[in-house]
Amino acid sequence: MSEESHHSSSYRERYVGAFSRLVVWFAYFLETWAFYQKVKKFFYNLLENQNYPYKRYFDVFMMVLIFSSVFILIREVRHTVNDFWALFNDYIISVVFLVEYLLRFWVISDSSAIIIQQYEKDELLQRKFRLGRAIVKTLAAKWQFMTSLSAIIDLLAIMPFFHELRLLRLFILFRVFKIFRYTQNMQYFGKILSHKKFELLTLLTFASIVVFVSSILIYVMEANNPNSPINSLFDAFYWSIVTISTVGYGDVTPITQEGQSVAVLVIIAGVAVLSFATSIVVTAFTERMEEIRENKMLSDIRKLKHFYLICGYGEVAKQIASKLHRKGRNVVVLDTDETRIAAAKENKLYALAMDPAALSTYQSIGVDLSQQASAVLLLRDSDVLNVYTALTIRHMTQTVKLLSILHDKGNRRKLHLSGVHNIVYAQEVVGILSREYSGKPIAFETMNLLRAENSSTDMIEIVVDDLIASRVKHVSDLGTRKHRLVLIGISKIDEEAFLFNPKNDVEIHQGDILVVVGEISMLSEFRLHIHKQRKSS
Amino acid sequence: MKTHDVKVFGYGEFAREIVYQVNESYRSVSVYTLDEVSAEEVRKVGSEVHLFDLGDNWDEFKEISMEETLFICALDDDASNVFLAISLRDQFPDSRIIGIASTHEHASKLRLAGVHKVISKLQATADILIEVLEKPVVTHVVQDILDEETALKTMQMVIEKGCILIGQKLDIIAYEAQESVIILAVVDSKMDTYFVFTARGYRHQLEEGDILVIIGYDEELETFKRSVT
Repeated sequence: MSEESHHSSSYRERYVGAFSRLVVWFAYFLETWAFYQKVKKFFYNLLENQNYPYKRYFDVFMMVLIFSSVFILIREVRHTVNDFWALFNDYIISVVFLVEYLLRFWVISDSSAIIIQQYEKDELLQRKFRLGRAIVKTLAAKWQFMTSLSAIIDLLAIMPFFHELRLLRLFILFRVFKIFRYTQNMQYFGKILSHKKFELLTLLTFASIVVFVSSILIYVMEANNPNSPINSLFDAFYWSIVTISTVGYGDVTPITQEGQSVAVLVIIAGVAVLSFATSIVVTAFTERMEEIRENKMLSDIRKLKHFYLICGYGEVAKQIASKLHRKGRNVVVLDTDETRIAAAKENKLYALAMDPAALSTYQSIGVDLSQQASAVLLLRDSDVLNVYTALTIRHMTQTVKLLSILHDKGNRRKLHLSGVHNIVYAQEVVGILSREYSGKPIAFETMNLLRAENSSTDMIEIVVDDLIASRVKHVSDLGTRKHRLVLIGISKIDEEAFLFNPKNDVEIHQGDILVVVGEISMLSEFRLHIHKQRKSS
Repeated sequence: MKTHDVKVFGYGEFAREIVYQVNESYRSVSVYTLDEVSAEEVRKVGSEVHLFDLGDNWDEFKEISMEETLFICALDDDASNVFLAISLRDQFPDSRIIGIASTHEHASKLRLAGVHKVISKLQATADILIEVLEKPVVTHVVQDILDEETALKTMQMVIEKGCILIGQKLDIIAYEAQESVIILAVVDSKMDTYFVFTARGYRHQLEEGDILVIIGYDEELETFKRSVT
């Protein structure tokens, strides 16, 4: 008998062991299957990642479904809805919601990772793999999702699928609550109020006690009077709620002197409750206003396709940011000084009081500098800070263009070594300008006038794209004279040199850059012309 | 109006760079400092140095030719710099003055004090950075033109009596010269600038005293100048 039991337990152990190994193998398989991970990541981004660019389209699509569903419900009250719309409402929308719910259930936690983690932990401690514990952990993660308020609303919103149950049709209204999921502002609203949870709960408790006590009191005072409209405990409760909320319909009123005395107390309590509630909500918003604005700004920055990042908002930075802003460029400013950031915000820039030299800054902003930043300008108050910030940027990306101002001539090489492409030494710039003006004041002023911000003339660069290259083969094909423009030169891509005042027979290739001066209106016309003109023979 | 002598006031970090940049280009470059410590620094680099104060004793300058001299006000203290500029303008109404400004406010005060050309430290730095960002090739070209070491230069050529260009239309001249140099603009006797590509510049007929602004390589600029005078 004991041998039989030993055999059966050994068999069971063997089966359990084999099953555990199978589960672990499958978990590793899923974790390393690139396609599975890619699909899961896609759905996670679509459903949960606020920074995913396509999420907004998904959110809009879901909101359209919600509003159509509510519209059909309202329409059904007094009109007959045709079969297609009824089908659409009862099945199609419900199925979409069901699929969404199941997808959220899937992506919300990584079950295979939990199993692998448990397996590796047991292996490390040289003990038997505890499959049961791993399963409990995976289920706990899913359960946490299922019991969250938003998931419950999601589930209730699917209920109208069982449309034969008339009552369940009312669950369509839960679909309206789903809007909270798809509108970020609503989520902010919820978050702000959640910070005042304690105060709101205290107020609610107070109001509940007042309602409870006054309901009983008014019932005791009025119920025995045949002329009183308060005949039941429900009437008393209804009267208390209407009175404490300061709505006061007047359909149910106490007629005895004792009842009216209770009413006076409830009215005073009602005014107090309403005032406190208003004050709590207003305080919550005032306290969190800066945070709301910052979150909105972060979200806007993440959505920018291109921007210039300015590190440090000193005097030079102010000038640059303001000029770039006027040109319609997106500028993001980072500085540790709150006062400077406030000034940048006043100038309508995206400005964050964060350390530009800290990696965590870029992680919390959630931007990809290599993709989004057209260039980074290091305009901090010392070369030490600029070198440190340059190295932080270089740690993240090697490709972004870095420009820096130089405070001490002796640090030029250090900035170069930290990966800065262009270094501007203000003293040198002023020195060169002084020399040029003193030698050739008229030529100097002419060059300045040509490039001045508010001038009607400009010196521009036109990159020869494939379209221009297919139409223009030589300098003579450009037709600059016809457009009253002057071609100063061509930056040749193949020779990596600048060809000043090129002759008519010089060939033009894709990637070359033309430097042209002229009136702004003629320059715009010229740009269009070289893209549209017929192919040269 | 060819500058031969440059007098730089102050020897701060900006003035030092100005002295360094202009030193080779002029017959004489003198530095005027307010204190002996700065004067000693100037002596160490071998430049001519004088001590001065902001009083009204400018006898030393009475003999110099204002046509050939350029004053550069580059004192570190904004108020002193403006006071210096207004003193120079008061004493020498015909003098040519460059003022180095640290802020917008300083720049406008220097202009009010009668400075011909104000170079704002902030503006100049900001402009160059923006140009590097937005038009890197243009920046490169302009830097090449401004750089004394490269052969590409700007030239301002005064149309003197007997010049074969007198009476000719700017557009025609510019087109004919295009093979070697680029004529960019003309500045007339009223100091109005007409770019060759604007409607007024296009039709402008050259007169004696007009100044042509030309870009080209050293040799070709000289050849062009010789061919028309």
